[in-house]
Amino acid sequence: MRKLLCLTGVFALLASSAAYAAAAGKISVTDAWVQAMPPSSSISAAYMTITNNSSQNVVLSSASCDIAGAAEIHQMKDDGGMMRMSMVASLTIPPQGKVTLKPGGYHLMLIDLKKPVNNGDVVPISLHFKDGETIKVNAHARNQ
Amino acid sequence: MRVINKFSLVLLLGVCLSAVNCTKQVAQSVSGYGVLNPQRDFVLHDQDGRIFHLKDHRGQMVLLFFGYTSCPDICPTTLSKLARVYELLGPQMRSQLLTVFVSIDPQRDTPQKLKEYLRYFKINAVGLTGTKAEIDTVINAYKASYTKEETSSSAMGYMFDHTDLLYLIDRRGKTIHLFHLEDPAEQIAKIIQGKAALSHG
Ligand SMILES: [Cu+2]
Repeated sequence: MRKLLCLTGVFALLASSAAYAAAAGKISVTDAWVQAMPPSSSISAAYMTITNNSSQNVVLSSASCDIAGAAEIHQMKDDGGMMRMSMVASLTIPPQGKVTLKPGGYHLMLIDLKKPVNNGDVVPISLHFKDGETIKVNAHARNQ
Repeated sequence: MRVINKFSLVLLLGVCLSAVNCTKQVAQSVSGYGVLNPQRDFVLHDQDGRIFHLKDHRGQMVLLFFGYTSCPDICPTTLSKLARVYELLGPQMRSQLLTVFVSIDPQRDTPQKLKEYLRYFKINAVGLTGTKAEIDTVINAYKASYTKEETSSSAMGYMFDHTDLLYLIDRRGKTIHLFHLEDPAEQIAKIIQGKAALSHG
């Protein structure tokens, strides 16, 4: 019984902090995942949905990841049968809008991996926004 | 006014749809590309450093594509999907279908790297490399293309733009179908099964 109460307490706390984050935070990040790669790979890519709950543009200007030498904002494009990957300087999320990073589109390229990204791993990634805000997300590694 | 609007909307839709259809059809019809690799052969080195001749694989169907191991989504996604294609085809087809991954990045993709990379996907596959000139010969034979983009701003140093086709080659070395890398596994498996049955007859 005590255990149950304790658990209920934890859930209440979690629920209230989540509600607080959603109400107070102008940016929310959901469904963060990383492409699990063969152990010999030195690169991977992270995907997620970034939602802007505010009435002003939100600009993602950079990202960082402890297990990667560099994390960059990239875009993959199918240009008439040519797949093109390029680096982009920043990503703007419009007011009350969202941007989904997904295979074949935007991604955070993780370069010079210091350890392999295995299926099931949790990869912490920090998103740095132009206004100075940093959001930390845990991206789960899986095969697409 | 309303009628005209509706009409132009339908017209516009029609144009869009046929444009989409056209590109798909051109890309998927082999004849649209002329004869691909008329010699029905090419030579590269495999992941164990051995010489690979396409003509040594007569009697097997081959799925050929061009990529590089530092490609973040299309290449691993395609290989994971091919693992699913093999599953759908069943154990009997497994040995009769060889996946050939030709790397366009000889600088980073050493045979050892290709070996470790492909082992991960657990499919019947070889990873091929060679000098840039050798790789370009194969690229040209299949009317594929790629460009190496040097970039000083990215920690990658360089990246590739490349065509997104998957070539189905029959037991006699003839290219008989083109898939897009994003085609679903079920569709790929179904077409391979159909073509395999045909070329048996
Ligand atoms: Cu990238």
